[in-house]
Amino acid sequence: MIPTSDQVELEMLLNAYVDNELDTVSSLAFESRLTREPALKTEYDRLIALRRALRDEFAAEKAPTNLRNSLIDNLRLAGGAPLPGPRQTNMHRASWHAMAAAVMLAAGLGSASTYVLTSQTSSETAVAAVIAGHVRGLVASHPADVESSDRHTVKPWFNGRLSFAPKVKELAEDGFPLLGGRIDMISGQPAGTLVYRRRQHLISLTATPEETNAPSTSLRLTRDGFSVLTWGEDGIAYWAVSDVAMADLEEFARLFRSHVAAR
Amino acid sequence: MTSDEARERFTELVMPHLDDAFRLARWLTNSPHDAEDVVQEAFLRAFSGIAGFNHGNARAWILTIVRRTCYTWLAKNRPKALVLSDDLEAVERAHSDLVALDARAGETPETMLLAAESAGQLAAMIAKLPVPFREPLVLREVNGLTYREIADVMEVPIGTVMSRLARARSLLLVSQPRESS
Repeated sequence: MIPTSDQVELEMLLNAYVDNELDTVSSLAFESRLTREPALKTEYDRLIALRRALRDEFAAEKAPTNLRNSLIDNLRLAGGAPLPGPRQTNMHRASWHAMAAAVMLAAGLGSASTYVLTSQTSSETAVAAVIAGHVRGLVASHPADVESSDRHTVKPWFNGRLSFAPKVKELAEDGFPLLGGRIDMISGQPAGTLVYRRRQHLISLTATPEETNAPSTSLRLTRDGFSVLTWGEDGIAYWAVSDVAMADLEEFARLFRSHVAAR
Repeated sequence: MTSDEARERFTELVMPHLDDAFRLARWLTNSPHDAEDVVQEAFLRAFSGIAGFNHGNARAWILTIVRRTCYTWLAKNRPKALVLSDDLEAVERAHSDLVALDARAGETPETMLLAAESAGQLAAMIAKLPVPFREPLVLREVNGLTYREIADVMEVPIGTVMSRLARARSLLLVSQPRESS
């Protein structure tokens, strides 16, 4: 039943009165109507009863304790503090951890594209940029710009976006499903990044042309809670970064390289 | 802003509204379980934007973020729940039809007191309200916002808030179950 416009206006007036949203003069006028119009008074009483029931039942509901505690823990992480007790891994925790890393990176470097006037080498800067790209992927709602587990979709996507062709391998059978790809900027140049998943974690594998500030020897390091591995092959430098344990990342690298070698 | 300052500001301005944030998410998604994930994501977004929030109504600010995160969730998981507000009359008609199916012919709802005998019944009635009507009702009755604040959070004119709220309550009163005699 759709009411007439007069009924609509009266209904809105009644609701506004009940919600204390009428100015004093209008309130007094409405109160006077309530004493003179029994049907309106009946509506008023029903509305008051409804409001009371809603308020009594639902207005005092608290957020679940584990939600509250989880957020408090996440805030501590974002401040860089270690967590008491065993670390629980979940997707949200990974995002807050990434947020912490992003904050610390920003504090330390300014931005991924500026060079720091210290004894830091250019490959160190590139490592920081690769980590920053991984972190941005974690914090964004989509870590990949092209979302596909099919290398025949992901590989051509890089054509026209990169001056070189990164190798793309599917590793789902080995426990590292491909999620897609994206472009990151490393040392001022576009780089191709593949996104893989390992249980609840993401792995970013960024490929750059080898002359782009690639380390002269392969790197294996941890930084801000992230494991980083680099290697070079056929003129392309690969940078793998993830918050999985280094042993897992090494297995990922070994699998990827053996798939590349098998071709 | 250092990360310590960000954490302090977030703890001071946003964390006090966690219960309100959960309540809004819980009623917009109709799922206390999914509401937890939504609140996590909304609070993460709020944290990343905390440097840009200097002053003003912190509760309205965080509830706006929660609302938008709920809508993203609804678009992904309950796309049918999202209705173009232009067609609210059609929505109302559809809702009234659903309600009429429940009612037995010739019965009138009890006046004065709500006949819903348990919170479960009342919760089910709220959950059945279409989102454009459920939203201002929850912001008013559960979160306790003023009309102006609801208008800010929903990003609609106050007149829209008033008419939708009035209709939401009217729909609830119509759909209350009959007193068994």
